[in-house]
Amino acid sequence: VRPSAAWSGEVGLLAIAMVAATVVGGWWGVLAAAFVWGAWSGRAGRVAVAAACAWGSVLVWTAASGPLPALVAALGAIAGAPGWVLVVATLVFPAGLAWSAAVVGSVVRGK
Amino acid sequence: MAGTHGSQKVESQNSKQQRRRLPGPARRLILVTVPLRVPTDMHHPRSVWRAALGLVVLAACVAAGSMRLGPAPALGPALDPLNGIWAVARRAELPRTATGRIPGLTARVDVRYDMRDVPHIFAASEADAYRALGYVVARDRLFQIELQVRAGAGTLTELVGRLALGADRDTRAMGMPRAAERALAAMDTTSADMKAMRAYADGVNAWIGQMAPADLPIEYRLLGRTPRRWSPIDALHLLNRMSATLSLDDVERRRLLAAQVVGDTAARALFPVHSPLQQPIVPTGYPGLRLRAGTLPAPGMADSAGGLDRTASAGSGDGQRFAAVGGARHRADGAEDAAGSNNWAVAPRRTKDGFALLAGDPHLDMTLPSLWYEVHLVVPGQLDVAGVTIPGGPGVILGFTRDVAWTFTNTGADVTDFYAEHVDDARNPRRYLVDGAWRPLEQRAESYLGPRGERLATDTVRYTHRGPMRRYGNQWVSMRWTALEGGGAFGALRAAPHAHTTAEWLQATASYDVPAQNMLVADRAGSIAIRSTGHYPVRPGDGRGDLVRDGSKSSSDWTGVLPLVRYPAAADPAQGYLASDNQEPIDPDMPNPVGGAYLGANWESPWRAARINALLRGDSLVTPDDMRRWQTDPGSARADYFVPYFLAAAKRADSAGQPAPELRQAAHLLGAWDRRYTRENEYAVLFEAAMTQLSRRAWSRLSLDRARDGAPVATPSTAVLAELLNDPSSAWWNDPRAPGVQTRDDVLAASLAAGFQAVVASRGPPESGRWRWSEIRHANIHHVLYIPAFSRLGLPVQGGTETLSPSSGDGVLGPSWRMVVQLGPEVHGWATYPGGQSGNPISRRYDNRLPQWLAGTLDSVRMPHTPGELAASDVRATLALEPAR
Repeated sequence: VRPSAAWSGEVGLLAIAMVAATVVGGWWGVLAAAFVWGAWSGRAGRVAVAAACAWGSVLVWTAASGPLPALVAALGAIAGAPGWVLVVATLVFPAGLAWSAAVVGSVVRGK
Repeated sequence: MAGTHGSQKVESQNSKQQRRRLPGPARRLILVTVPLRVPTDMHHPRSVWRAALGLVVLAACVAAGSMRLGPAPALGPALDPLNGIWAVARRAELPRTATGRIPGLTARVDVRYDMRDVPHIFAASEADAYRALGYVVARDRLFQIELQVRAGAGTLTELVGRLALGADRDTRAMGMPRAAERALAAMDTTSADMKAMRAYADGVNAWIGQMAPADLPIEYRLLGRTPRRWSPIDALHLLNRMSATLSLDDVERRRLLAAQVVGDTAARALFPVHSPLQQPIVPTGYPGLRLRAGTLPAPGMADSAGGLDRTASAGSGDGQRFAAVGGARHRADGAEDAAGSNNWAVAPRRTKDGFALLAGDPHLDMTLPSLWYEVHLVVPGQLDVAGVTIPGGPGVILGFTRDVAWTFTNTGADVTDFYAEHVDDARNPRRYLVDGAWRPLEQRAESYLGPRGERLATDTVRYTHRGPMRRYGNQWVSMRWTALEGGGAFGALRAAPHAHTTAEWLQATASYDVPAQNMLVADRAGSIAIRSTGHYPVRPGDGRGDLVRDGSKSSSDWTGVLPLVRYPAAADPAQGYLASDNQEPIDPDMPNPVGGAYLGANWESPWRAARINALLRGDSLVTPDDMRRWQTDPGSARADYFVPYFLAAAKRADSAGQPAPELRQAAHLLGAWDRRYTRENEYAVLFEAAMTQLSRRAWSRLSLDRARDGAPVATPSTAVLAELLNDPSSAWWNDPRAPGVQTRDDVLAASLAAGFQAVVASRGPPESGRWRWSEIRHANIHHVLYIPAFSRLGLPVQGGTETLSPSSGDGVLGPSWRMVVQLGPEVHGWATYPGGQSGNPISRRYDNRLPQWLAGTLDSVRMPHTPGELAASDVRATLALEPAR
């Protein structure tokens, strides 16, 4: 199913917000922003996708700025796992964090 | 409840219909900014489950994000792509331009990084240069410098946790942090040395204060730590650490161990004060190796107290316990593959271009990031020096100016002595006896903290007037070590680059105390000189320092240090060159300035010295490229000495009839060997195996478990083995367990055959292709935290045991810096080291010099007079440092 322009636009703006939140507060910023968004909109799925997109886009920028593949390989060797697992973790972690924070935000708002 | 739910659904549908009637842009805006109504029906099973799941996932994410999971860092800050571990990739290379501010800077400092990534620091004052040096070193090597300094301060546990507790306890038990504190307290706070140390700390702290979160080195991220601020004492901790590496050698222990098996008389000969094979640093005019007259005494009866001063009351068991304590740097397996270094200089009349040449390659632990950091410091009219600094230390240690060049090898002097002390209470001593009177022990409480400030352990370290005291069984033994009383090294190294001639340079370094170094210097006028500089303790009585003395007598104490005029030294010798390779500095049987004073014992065998002296003797038109080639020369004086003995023994066995087939084949292979340890060589492995067998058989009497061919308790040097070869019927050759009487040739032939069998067993027959040297010896350059992914292991190298570029058994020691300098009207330098300038393991600059180092080639060192002298195409990055407002 192709995402609608509206969906894409919302996720895109949210992703920008998530990058900004990360700049301001690191990973706690993602949690806080998602919580607020969840409390306000109740839509957790989109903020999860946005968070993953936000951190993913920073990774892409990193790859363009330095030897990311070498780092992925080295960290994978240290972790004893394929390097791509860490990349996936970097996308899944903010997604899970944002989704859950948004859900909790919506629940709090619902009370 | 169903009704409420239904009304919400209707309302939602109405909202959608209203939005569809709006124009496109407005509709999209509303879609992203106007929230839908939040579902409030928390009693709906799906909502409850969703909320519960959300809470669980959030809790899990927060936990994983904020807490370390075993060795893994907390995921939140680690995975943060902006400032977390991924940022390491973005910060791998230096930005093309950068600025910084340093408190105390008196004027702007320009830093130009050339295409070799070497920073050229142009400052208005020396203090500013050291501030900038601290800044640029911290920028590239922040984690390394903290690790090294903590190793010297005994506070590694605060960085890496409990696993470093043993190392920290050793460091503090040796009194190193206390010595640094005392040295700092004794320093004149207005002295140039103190100013340099403060300036350097200012620079490091400026970088720490200004670096962005993304600049944090990856090691801190993996450990979950942050850098600590620097203080001037850190330079002293670093110096102590180097002293421990280069001068802490307990020659007493090896003699004690041997005495417990073969008696003290034999032990003294096996670990002699003077090397039986001479090729000294101070030239004697004797061409080649000289074997001193004498034979090894036969093994005697065990003498467990033989190594102790006879006046000491230490019992045999205590002596044994002391001897069993680790710490000796020489290996018990007989392989002389510990740290060693080379340097040599050639006078203009023996060089092709008519200019003095100097080469140096200190062999030390090879690590990543490298032990060294290359730099060029310029203060117009005051300082213009290129070379390497030890990260964390203010100053260039090895390098050159436009007038002089210098490099060191370790002297290996005996500057550590042990004293058997008499104490009032063996379990908890508070006093110790000297000349019949009790003296109070200084007691220093040592506390070891973990990374979060938690206390891991506490110790009490006791000090006599000699130094720290440790307990071995029931015997307390104190240690006196020049490094704990030092303080002159830093000033000497800082002053050295100000010299313009060899004479001035030797004068500038006269106060250097520890660790004693064979300091080689050459100047533009063509003078060359060497001096084994450092404090040599003067002991009472026979002056020897290779025995444990009685601590209850003040007459056991050192009476001073050797005066400068009696240091081993030579200048502008008739032979036209000078060289040192950690061998005994003087030939005791030839005229020398030392005058019989004890300098040390159990010196490294002079095989490398013999090789480089032979090369230098054989070339009267030396070029810089010759000097470079010799640094990786694969020839072996050791093989030249021993191979003929093996071949002669095999030939005699052949003449006597019934030689073992493997002996005949081994002799054939060994005879075909060119005695060079090139990568493709397929015979060196046989020689090394035969030497291992020879050492084991010759020193089998030194094993405590001879029934099972146990390893010797301590293995004499190959120089002593060479001495033994000269005595074909020595009792050492005869193994009482074997039938008949064995002679030297029996043992040599058996060793060669056994070596051959061992190699065939481990690597297959000679034609298997697995005898290639590149398959056997490798350089293994570990990351400072021994992280395999950041290490470079299994690097095939040219060279073998005791060649000029020795490849040690486990490959962790080797030429840590190679430099050749030609002192013409314009100085030219060439250099490299096994690593790179950056401490970031992902950086191109982390290991980019390794291929060059492996190939034995060198880079041309740039030495611009001004920032503008480096063309834009020669500049990789710039850094402008301004005074902090």
